[in-house]
Amino acid sequence: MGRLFDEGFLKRLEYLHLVSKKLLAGKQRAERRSKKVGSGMEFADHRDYTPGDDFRYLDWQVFARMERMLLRLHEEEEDLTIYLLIDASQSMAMGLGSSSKYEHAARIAAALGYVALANLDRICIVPFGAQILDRMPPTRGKNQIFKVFNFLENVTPKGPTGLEESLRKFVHQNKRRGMAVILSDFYDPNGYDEAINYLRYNRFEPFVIHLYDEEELKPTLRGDLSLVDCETGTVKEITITPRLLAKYREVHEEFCEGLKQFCRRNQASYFRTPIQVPVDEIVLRIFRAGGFLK
Amino acid sequence: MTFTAMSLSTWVTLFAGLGGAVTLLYMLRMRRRRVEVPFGPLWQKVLTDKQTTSLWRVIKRIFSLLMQLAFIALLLTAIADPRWTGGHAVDFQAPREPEPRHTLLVIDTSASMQATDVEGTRMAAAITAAETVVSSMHPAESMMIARMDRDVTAVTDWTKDRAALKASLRGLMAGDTGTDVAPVMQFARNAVRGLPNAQVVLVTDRAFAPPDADLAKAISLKVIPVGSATETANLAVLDFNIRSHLGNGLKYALYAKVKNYGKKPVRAAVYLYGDATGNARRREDFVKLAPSMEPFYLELAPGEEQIVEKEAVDLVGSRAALLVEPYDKKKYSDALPTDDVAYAVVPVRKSVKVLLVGKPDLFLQAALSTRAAVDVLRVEPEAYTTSAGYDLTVFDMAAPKAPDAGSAIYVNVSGGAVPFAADGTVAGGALNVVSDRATHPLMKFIKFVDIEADRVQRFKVRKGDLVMARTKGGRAAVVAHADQEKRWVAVGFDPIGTEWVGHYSFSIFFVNAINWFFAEESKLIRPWSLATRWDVPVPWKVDRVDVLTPKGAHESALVDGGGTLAWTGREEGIYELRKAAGDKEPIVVAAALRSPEESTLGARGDYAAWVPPEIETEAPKLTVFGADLWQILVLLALGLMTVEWFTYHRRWTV
Repeated sequence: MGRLFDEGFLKRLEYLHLVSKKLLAGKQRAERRSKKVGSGMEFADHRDYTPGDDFRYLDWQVFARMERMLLRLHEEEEDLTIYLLIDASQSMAMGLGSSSKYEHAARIAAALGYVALANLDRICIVPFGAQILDRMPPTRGKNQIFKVFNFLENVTPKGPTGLEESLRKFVHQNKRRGMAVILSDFYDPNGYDEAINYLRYNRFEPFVIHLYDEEELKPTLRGDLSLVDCETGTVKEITITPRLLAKYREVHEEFCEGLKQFCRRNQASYFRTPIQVPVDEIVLRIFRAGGFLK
Repeated sequence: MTFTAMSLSTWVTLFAGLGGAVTLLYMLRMRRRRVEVPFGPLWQKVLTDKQTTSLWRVIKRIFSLLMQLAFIALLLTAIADPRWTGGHAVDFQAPREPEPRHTLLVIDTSASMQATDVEGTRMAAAITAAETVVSSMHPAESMMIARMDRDVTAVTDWTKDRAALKASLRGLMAGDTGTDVAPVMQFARNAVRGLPNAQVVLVTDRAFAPPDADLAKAISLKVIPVGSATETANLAVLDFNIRSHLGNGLKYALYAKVKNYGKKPVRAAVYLYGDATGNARRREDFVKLAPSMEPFYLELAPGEEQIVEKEAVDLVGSRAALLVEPYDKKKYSDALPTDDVAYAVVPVRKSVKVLLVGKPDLFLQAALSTRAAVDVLRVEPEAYTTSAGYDLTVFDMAAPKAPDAGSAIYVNVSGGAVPFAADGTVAGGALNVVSDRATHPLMKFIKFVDIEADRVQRFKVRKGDLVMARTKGGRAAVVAHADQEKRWVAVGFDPIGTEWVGHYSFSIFFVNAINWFFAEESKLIRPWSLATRWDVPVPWKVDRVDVLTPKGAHESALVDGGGTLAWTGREEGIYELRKAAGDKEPIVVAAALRSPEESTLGARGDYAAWVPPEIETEAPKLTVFGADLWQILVLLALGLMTVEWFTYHRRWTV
C-alpha cells in the first residue's frame, strides 16, 4: 500500500463499487453500452443536437412537437475497454494546494479502474506528458487493482504537455476501441482540440475529466513577480494587482468554458472538478452525471 | 535667473550621482521574485489584454523612478538657491569663496571711559558701538577683541563667533587707570601682521595723546569715537598727600592739587575723611564716615588749578581720602566721579609709655609730652627699681640701674649703669649739629642757635656710636647708638644750664628721639600711581604676599629676593598687604589715578573713522505667492514624493 492508496481509500472504493452495482442492477456483466449514434437499435436517450452531429438521428417528432432539436441515442452493445489516460506532465505535479493534481488524477483513475475491474471490464492505464510515458496493458479482474495502484504510484509527473502527440501515439498503439478517459488539466500550449478530435476520429469515446486546483484559479500572489511556466520555462515579468487577478480568473474561466464547449460540440463527455473535492465524491458525481457507468 | 549656491557642473555632478544611486536602488527594488505557475499562456493572455490599453501602461513601470529623479532635480535646484536677475537666461554661479578678513577690535577701558557725559557712561556707549561692529561682521571675517588702558590685553582669540564676541564685550568695564596708546599700537601691529584684509578698529574717547600717524595708517586704524562732542565739566584731584605735622605731632599737614577742567567757574567743596577702623578702602567706605574736619571751599575759574596746603589738620586713623565735589551739582555736572577722590596713607602713631627717672624737671617732662600718644611717669632715682612695662626710660642726671628692656635716653648722666663710656667733664662751648647728621631722624629740624654748654661730658666714642652734636671745640655733646638689640641717646650736658630748654628744638629733639626709637617716621608716604609697577618693601621673608584690593579681591603677589613686592594696582583706593591672608597687621598703601590726560576728558587727534561695511547686494529672491522660489521647489519635491508614495503603494504605477 503506497502513499496514494491507503486503507481508507480501499474502503471508499468498496463503497463506490456497491453504489455502482445499484446503478448497474439488472445488466449483464461484461456488456458495456457505449453511447453511439446509429450503431444499435435500442433507443436509449435524447441529447441536445450540436453542430456536427449526424442530423439523420434527429428526432423530428420531438422537433415537431416541442421545436427542440434533440438527437436520438441508441445503445450499442459491445465489450469496451476503458483507457485511463492520465496527464503526467509537470503542471500536474504542481502543488499549490494540499496535494498535486496528478495525485488526485491517480486516485480518480484508481477508483474508476476499480469499479471497472469489479464489473469485469478491461482497463488500460496510459500516462502521458509530451508523449506516452508508460503503459499498463489492458487488465481485467478485481484482483488486478493492486497492480493498478503500483503502476500509478510509479509514475512521476514531468515534462511538458503534448496532448496531440500523446493521443496520436495512443491511438496507434491501441487498435481496440473503447472509452478514453482523459484525466488532465489540459494545460497544453498547442491546445486540446486536435487531440480530442483525433480520438473521436478513431472511434474512441472521449471522456474528459478536467482537473484544476482552486489555488490556480485564485492565486494568492501579490507584487512584482517573475512568473515561470513550469513546463516550458518561459519567464514573464508581471506585477500582480487585484485587477490583474480578476482578469486572470476571467481568462481561466474562459479557458475552462472553452474546453467544456468544445467537448459538448464534439460529443465528448466533459466533467470538471477541482482537486479540493474528495475523490469519492468526484467519482460519485461522475457516476450520477452519467456517461461513465450506465 | 541666477543660481547662487552652486555651479552648473556641481548641479549636474550631484544630480548624476544621486540619480544614479536612486536608479540603482530602484532596479534592486524592482528585482522580481520567481514563482512557478502551471500554465504561462494564461498569464500571457492576461498581460496581452492589459498592455494594449494605453501608452500610460507602457511608461508606468518607470513612473516611480521618474518621480524620484524629478524629486532629486527639484531638491538640487532648491539648494542652488535660484534668484531673479532679470532676463530669460539661466545662470549658474559657483558659490564664491569669500576672502578672509580680520578685524582687531580694541576697546578703551581707561578711567575716562567712566565719564557720564553721554547716556549711561562712555563705556556703555563704547560697548554698544563695538556690538555694531560685531554685528556687521562678514561671514568670512574673524575678529579679536582687546582692551586697552595703560596696557593692552587680548580678551578673545580670533573667532567668527558673534555671540562669543558680544558676550566678551558685555563683560568689559572701565578701569581706574590712564591710557597709554603706544603698547596698543605695538600689539595691534603684531596681531594683524601677515593677515589678509586686516584692520584695527578702536572704540575710544580719544582722551590720550594720539599715536604715530604712519603706524596708524600701516595697521589701517579706524576709530569709533564715544563721548560728548561738547565741552565736558570735570573737577579732579590731581594730587593729594598728607603727613604728620612736623611741629605738631597731634596734627597733620595736607597737600592737594585740584583742577577745574570745565569751561564754567565752580565752587568746589573739599572733604577730608580719615578711617580709624582700618577697613575703608574705597570711596564708598570713606563717604560713610564723618569728615575729619570741616569741609573747605575753593573757587575755581575755568581751567584753573589750585594747590591746597593745610597745616595742622585733624585726621583720625591712618587712612585718608580727599573728596572734591561741586558745591552746586545742578549748576556744575561733574562728568567723571572717579577723579574726584584721592587716597593717602599716614604712619600709624604708636602710644608710648615713658618712665622718667630723676628729680622733678618740668622742661624735660613738657618736652617728652609734646608728642601725641606719650604717657610719661616720673619716679625718683631712689625709688627706681625696674622699667618693666615701659617702652622708653629717660634717665635725668642719674642712672641707678640699667633699664630692663627697651630704649633709653640719658640726660647729663655721668656715671652709674650707662651703656656709654664717659670720663668726667670738660669745658664746653657753642653747640653744633654734626653736619653729616643733619638729616638723621634724630636731628631733623634741630638747630643749636646761640646755645652754649659750660661743661660737657668727656665721651669715649666707641664703634657704633654716632655723634650727633659737638661743641665748638669738637667735643661730643650728643651721642646716639643703635644696634639690633637697643637704641639709646646720651645728652652730655645739662639742658637746664643752657638756653636750649627755651627753644622749640628742645621738644622736637625728644619727639624725634621717640619716633626714632619706635620707627615712626614723619616722612611722607606717597600714594602709588595706578597701572605702574609698585616696588613696596615688605619686612617678611616670603615669596608671596596676599594683596587685598580696594574692591575686596585677594591676589597673590610675588616678592623678589630683595624683599620688595612687585605689584601693579589697577583700582584706586587703599590696598592691604599681608604676609598671609588673615594677618592682623597689614602694610597699607594707597593708589590714585593722578592722570591729567584722563581728567581732561577731551578728545585729541584726528583718526580715520570706522564706516560700517556695505552689505553685499544679492540678487533679489524670486517669490511665488509670497514664498521664496526654493521653498516652492521644496514643496513641489515633497508633493512629488507624496504622489509617488501613494501611487506606488496603491499599485497604480506598477
